[in-house]
Amino acid sequence: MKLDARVIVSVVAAAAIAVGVVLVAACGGTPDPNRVTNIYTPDDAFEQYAGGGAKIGVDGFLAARCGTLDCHGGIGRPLRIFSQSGLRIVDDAGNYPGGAPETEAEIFANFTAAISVQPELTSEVFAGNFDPHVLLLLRKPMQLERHKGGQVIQGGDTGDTCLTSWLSGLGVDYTACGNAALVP
Amino acid sequence: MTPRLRTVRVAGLLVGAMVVSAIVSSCADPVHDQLVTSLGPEDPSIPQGEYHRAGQPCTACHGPEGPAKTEFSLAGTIFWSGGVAQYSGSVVGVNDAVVSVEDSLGTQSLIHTNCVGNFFVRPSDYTPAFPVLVAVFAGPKNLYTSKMATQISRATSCAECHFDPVNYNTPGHIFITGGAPPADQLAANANCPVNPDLSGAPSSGLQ
Repeated sequence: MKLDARVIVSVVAAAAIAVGVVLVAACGGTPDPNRVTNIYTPDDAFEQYAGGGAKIGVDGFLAARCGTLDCHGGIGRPLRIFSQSGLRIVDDAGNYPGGAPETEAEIFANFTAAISVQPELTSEVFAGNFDPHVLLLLRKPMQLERHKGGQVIQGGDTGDTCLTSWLSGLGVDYTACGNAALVP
Repeated sequence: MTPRLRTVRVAGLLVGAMVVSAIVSSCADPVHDQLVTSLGPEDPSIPQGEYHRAGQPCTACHGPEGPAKTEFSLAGTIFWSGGVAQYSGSVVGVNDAVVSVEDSLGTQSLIHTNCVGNFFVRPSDYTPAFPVLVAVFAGPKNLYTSKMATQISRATSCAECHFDPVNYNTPGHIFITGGAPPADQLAANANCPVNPDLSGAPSSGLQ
């Protein structure tokens, strides 16, 4: 069967136009400022995340092991982590890496970053409907999903225990978090 | 050539050109290209080589993506701190400082700086398993010491994180003391083929 050249050119042109329309449509759409996603956490989730005093919570672990300036302490990273030695919130305090201790605002920003990676699923995990290991917050550092920073957590180690104890809602294991926060 | 054949040939060329341009554009890394461009031109007073571009992110060019021919697995610059404020004085490279790198497998490597403070390691000599811990020593009996408080998770250039000025996202360059550069140590820089004092040099390459 012979195809007419004009038909071939027409098909190619139509395909190119279709691809263009799809690309434009994919980038379009008006943002809806009223659309919100609720994240349900236990009442003491932030308190356990933050720790305090001698208790090193989840934040101490994430700040030390994940929040270096060349990883999640980079402004272009998802799961952005602020810390005393890493990225600082830009405010009137003018803090810089290695300067003043981590602020309450920075800890809260880290908390919201941690729970909003997968907001719906995180709510389900906190409610006890799923194992914490379904979350990217664990799957990435355990290298169960591709993680540019490699494997940071191994199953059953202190980092795993720190995060799962917090996410399971049974009470964070501060000792595990403290040990996991130690720079290797 | 019949009009039909000519049309088919033109259509083929058009499709071929689209495929080639797609392949070429997919191989380019605009972020890397932008980073390399942002480093600016060479300082005309410093020839390309081990003394050039002190304080810049070495592996931006000396990395897998080039454009430099030599590749480094780890590189950076160590400065003496100067002046009253730690980050606002002179910027003089530390000659013969020892950069201690301990990687996650427990392998330790000691790397010496040259007279502008630059140090570098080639992958064939040592490729650390990240994360790594780093400390810097200089002077007699390692009198001057600076130990990094955090791990390096994957950056291969100091200046990826350590650049001037100090800000919310950088602690500034790596300085080994909190005070003025020791006079006896600065004397060791006297024979340096290039000026190791980069303070005030607009084309020093400092970010």
